[in-house]
Amino acid sequence: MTGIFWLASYPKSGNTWMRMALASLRAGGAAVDINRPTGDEDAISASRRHFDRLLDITSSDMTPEEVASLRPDLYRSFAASLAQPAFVKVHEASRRLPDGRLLFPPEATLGVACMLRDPRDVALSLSHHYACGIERAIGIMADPEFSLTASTRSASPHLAQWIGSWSANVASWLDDGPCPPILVRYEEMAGGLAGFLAQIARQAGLPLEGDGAAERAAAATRFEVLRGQEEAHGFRERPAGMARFFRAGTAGQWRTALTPAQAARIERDHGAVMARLGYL
Amino acid sequence: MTRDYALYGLRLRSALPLPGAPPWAGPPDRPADATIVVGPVPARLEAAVHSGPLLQVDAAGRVRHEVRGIAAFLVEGGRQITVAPAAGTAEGEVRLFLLATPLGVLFHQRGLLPLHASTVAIGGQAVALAGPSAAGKSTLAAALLAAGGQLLADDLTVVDPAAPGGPLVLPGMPQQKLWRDSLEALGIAADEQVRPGTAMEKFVRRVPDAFAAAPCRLAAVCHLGGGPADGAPRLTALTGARAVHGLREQVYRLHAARAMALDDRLLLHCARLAGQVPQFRLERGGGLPALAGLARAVIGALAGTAAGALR
Repeated sequence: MTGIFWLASYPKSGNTWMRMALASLRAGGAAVDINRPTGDEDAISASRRHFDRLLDITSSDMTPEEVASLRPDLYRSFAASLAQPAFVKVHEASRRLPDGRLLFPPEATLGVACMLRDPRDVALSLSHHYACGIERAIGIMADPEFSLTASTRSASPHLAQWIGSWSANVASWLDDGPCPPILVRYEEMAGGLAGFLAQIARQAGLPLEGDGAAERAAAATRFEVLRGQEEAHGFRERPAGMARFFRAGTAGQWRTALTPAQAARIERDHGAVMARLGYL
Repeated sequence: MTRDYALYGLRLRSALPLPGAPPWAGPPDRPADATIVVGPVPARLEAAVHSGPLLQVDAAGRVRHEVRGIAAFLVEGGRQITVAPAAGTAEGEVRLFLLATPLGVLFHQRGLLPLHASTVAIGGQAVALAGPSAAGKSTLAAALLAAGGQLLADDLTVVDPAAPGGPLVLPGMPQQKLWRDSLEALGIAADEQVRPGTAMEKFVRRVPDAFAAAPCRLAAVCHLGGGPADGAPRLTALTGARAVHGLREQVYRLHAARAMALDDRLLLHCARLAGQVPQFRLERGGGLPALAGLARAVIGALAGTAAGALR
């Protein structure tokens, strides 16, 4: 019995880094090419190509409600077809459809790893990613209706993704997800990546314990390694207009980069979840 | 009222009106090749060999497809599609989904090669623009029409892979589906919304005056996709196993076709086609602003000139 292992995070919280590390783990700790880590473009929750292919339909002829209504069935069908775990990245909140079904169904789920990061650092990283000011990034994080690839004027390679506010997004995976998540704090990834990989491997039933693969994978995907590759070869997933995707990889840059007023605003917007996670 | 239409080389008799489809104008005594009837469709197929959320296949190769709230379809023997519309559904919505999966499945049952592609005839040669949804096939096809091409098919391209003299593209519907952003970039108008009454700004665009009504030799396949978002448009030759694999990835409703046990035959079709028809990878680069350059690259590839920037 295998299934989907969700790698869930609000954007800019270490999801890409974790995916690279997992790709290395599954290759026995080998080096990865950031521009071709898993060779699987379908490994995102909102892949349109995956939806259309598995359901034999043209999703871009359907309304967002019709598409959403079919997604739990898609994931169940996909999970049933798997011979080994599928790691799927998801930035969307774990939410329920109008009929009460979870978008990401428990029956299809092998496990969840939730990548968490201090929202003050998220705001800083978001402002770089979207090449917008910090104020705008803070506004995005507070927007309960924040969504990606949801245009009514064109079709994206991704289905409409409802992200929600940072607080609602994080809480949804902690409190109303398909299963209790493994928590992966960005602040601990630089030093503790091997430990997180081992935890995920155990949960996913990957037969890689005890032979040092987790340590090798962590070493192979140290932030400096990923950044070095980007400097040399670029990064296909970097949006146009963004100078560098793998920027710093450290925690706490917000202390010098945000004004006290900006930090206070974030703490006001997200205080409850921050306190719950120990960021306050 | 039942009418006969000329669609993908068939005399198609349909009880559901197909506005925009060319009326049958071939020999009056040719029997109908396939029929579309309105009637009940079983709630599920007994003895299904494959059962997905929207599509089932039985041991006889019959296919049941359903779009909840719109219609259920039964496709049998490459000769008949039964349509059971859901109560209160607009005819246009039933037709939208009828002319996609059920029609594609019909052609799989008939042993032809349906591709997920938009195809344009330029100077009597057909170039198929293949790729997954949202790759930009229809938009690029529209740019080629603006450059003097004629549409053969939008989204569902049917190829007769074994036609004497080389693979032949069969003419589909003289219309495209285009989104608002594409229409604005192309500077063209469209007709009705694909889903009236919704917020979806996707439109039908009829092109009866820019339509190739006769089958046309397939001269090239361009596979859209890949490349960095801010890169330049790039056309490269695709050969060998990668060409065969690339083509197979663009078989229309490949998942259903595999459930219909057609994998081996499709692989053979694709291998033969890749040997007979040049394949290219076409990287879009910067999207809509790069459209004119993309169209030029495709025309150049077709002409086989150095301007096509073959590498």
